[in-house]
Amino acid sequence: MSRIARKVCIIGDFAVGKTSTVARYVNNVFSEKYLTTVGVKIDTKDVALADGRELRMVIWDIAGSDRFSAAEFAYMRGAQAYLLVADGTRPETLENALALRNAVEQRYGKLPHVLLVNKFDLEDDWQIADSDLDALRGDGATILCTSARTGKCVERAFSELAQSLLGGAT
Amino acid sequence: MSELEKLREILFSKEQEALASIKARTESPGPRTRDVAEVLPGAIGLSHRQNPALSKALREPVRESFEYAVNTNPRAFANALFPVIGPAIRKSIAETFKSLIQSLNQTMEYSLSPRGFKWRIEAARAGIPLGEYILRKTLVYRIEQVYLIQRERGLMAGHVQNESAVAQDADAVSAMFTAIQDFVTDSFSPDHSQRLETADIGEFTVWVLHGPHSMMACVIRGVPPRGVRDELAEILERINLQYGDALEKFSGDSDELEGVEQLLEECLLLEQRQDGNEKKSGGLSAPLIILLLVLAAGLGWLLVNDYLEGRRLDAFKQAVADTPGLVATELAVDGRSLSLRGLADPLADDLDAVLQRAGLDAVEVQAELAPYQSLDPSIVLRRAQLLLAPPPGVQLALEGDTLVASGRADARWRQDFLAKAPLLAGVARADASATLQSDAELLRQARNALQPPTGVRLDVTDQVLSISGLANQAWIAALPEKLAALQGLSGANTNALEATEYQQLRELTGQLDGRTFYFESGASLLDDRNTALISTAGQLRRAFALAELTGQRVAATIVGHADGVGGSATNQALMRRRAQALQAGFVAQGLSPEQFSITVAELPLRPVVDARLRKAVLRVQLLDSTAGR
Repeated sequence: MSRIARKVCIIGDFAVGKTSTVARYVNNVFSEKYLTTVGVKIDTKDVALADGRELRMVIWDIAGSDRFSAAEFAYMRGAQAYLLVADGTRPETLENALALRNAVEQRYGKLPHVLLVNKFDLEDDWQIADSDLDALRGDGATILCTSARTGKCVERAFSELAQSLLGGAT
Repeated sequence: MSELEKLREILFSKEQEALASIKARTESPGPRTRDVAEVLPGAIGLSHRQNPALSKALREPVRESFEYAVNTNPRAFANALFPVIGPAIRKSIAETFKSLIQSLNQTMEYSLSPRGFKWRIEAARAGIPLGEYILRKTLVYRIEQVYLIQRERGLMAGHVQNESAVAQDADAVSAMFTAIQDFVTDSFSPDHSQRLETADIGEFTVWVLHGPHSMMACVIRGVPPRGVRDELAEILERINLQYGDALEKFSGDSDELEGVEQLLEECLLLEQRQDGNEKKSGGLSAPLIILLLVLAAGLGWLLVNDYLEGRRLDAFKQAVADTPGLVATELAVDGRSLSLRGLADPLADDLDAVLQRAGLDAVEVQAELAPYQSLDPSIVLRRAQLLLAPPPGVQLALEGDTLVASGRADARWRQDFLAKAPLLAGVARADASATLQSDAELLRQARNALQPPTGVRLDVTDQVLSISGLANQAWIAALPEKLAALQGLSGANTNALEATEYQQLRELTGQLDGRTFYFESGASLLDDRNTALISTAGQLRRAFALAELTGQRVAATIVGHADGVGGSATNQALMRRRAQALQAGFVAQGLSPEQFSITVAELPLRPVVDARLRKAVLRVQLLDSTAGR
């Protein structure tokens, strides 16, 4: 039986909740300490496609920092899609995420991606206007407001990504 | 200027200028060089593409100029090659050493086991070097898992594993392994040229083989021989041959690499089991322990032996040094045998005796000894003993370079000794002053010197001359002087020597003593006694003369006797008168009155009328018997 695997990266600023968002929805193979040692941690996520096939996403959770270093960029090499994560309570993380997207596109070209604006559960602290997000969506980006605590939209983010990864191929 | 030329100038002046310019360019080297330089690179490129003739033509000149450049400036080439050649050599050496050490370990471990001996035979039968055979047989390893990973994405391109292997999520492992590979390369290879090739994790070894777009990570349990790496590399090469393009473009769909896992399966077939048991990890194997013990015992034995050999050698050295007439120039010990080179005086102690003294009786000695003459005092003495043959009782001693003889020796030997001894090596002078003459010689000498008369016997015992028998006084008197002149005697005994005169004196005094002369009742001698008186006087005279000759003293006493009749006083006077009368008689015969003493006898307790008591008795005694001997 044929298998389909794709390299997917999760990138975003430090402490936006990259690791915790996906932690519950993926196969945790390695401990988080890899993030601080090697700078990357690999998880896998199997997504069932509408046509019955199954896609295995090999998820490279790249240690976040406020500046994406060359080494971390190197881990992006060969990525086929990525999750861009920002923190809804810190608008600057969204800006940084968008800047990061530009940097990635400059280096690796346009890749399927989903922007996750995280910590949607912290309504009181939410600081990003829907209009801003709509404006971004207008550019064709898939944007989801997620919550690592409730798990809101996380599964959806993966299926969106899976669709965009294989949509053209199927 | 002719018309024609003018016309030509009018018609062709521009062309002429152009021609002149072309001529100038073609004829002067400067511009021509610039022209050619302009078109040369393009011309070569075009020629190379269209026709290989240029390349062929250039091959030889280029080779020659290259050679020339290398010869004239080798340093530049060495510098250029350095960055390439260094890593290549290092890598080659490292690989060789890895292989060598592994081979050594294996050989050590197995060559002494029973199986090792079996394999030795089998290897000999198969005609394979033992080391190779052992390697083939002994390495216990198993390739448990093989990951084929597309390097750029870190995506797993293929994964096979043994049924017993415990596998993690192969996709995650592949990705993580790629990340770590990058991490290691970034961290430890500054120029990013080196890659992680081996990782050891407990009983597992991970070998990573690198292809152009992929890497193959093999998880191996146990100790694989280095040769297996080559086989794995070959499998990877085949994969690249077949799937090279697909691997380069691999996006994650296993269909793109259909069949690759069958090739990977071949990796799993590379295994070596040992009786189905897995190799023990850590610790020392029994054969290795035995080998170490044997080595330790051997080392101990060597050390002890070495020590004993050293002791033996020391003892032998000492013994040789202590043996006069033996000089060692080279001494060595090898186990139980000793070898000696040097010089030996023929009179030196026998080597066996030397060894026995050193307690090395059981040791075999190979000796190469050249003869020489030793000047060691003890050997010089031995030589003297041998050549001078001193008679029994003569001792030889060396004092410095003087050979001293002592003891009893006859003159002939002494003469011989004095003549020959200084000729001996090591002897400068001979001294025989301490030698004593033999008794026989002394006797001979004494006899010559003393000319003993018949009746005198000479004897020499232990240097003491005994003179016995009878000799006339004159000879005896001359004896002390003659004896003093005799040499070599330790003493003379004349106790048994008597002078003939003395003997006569003794006889004479014996005869004279007690001679009795009878008287009338008064003090007048009986007439018939006169004859006796005359002969006695003659004898007395002779005795006194002999006494004087022999140095004796003769005491002559005349004792007057009486019978006691007629009262004591009368008798006393009578006795004196009778003695004096006899004395007077002797004096009348020529003797001196001083030669006699007069005394009276005891009167009898009661007067006895007896004519035999009217007498005077002559007592003659030798007073000193020592003189004259």
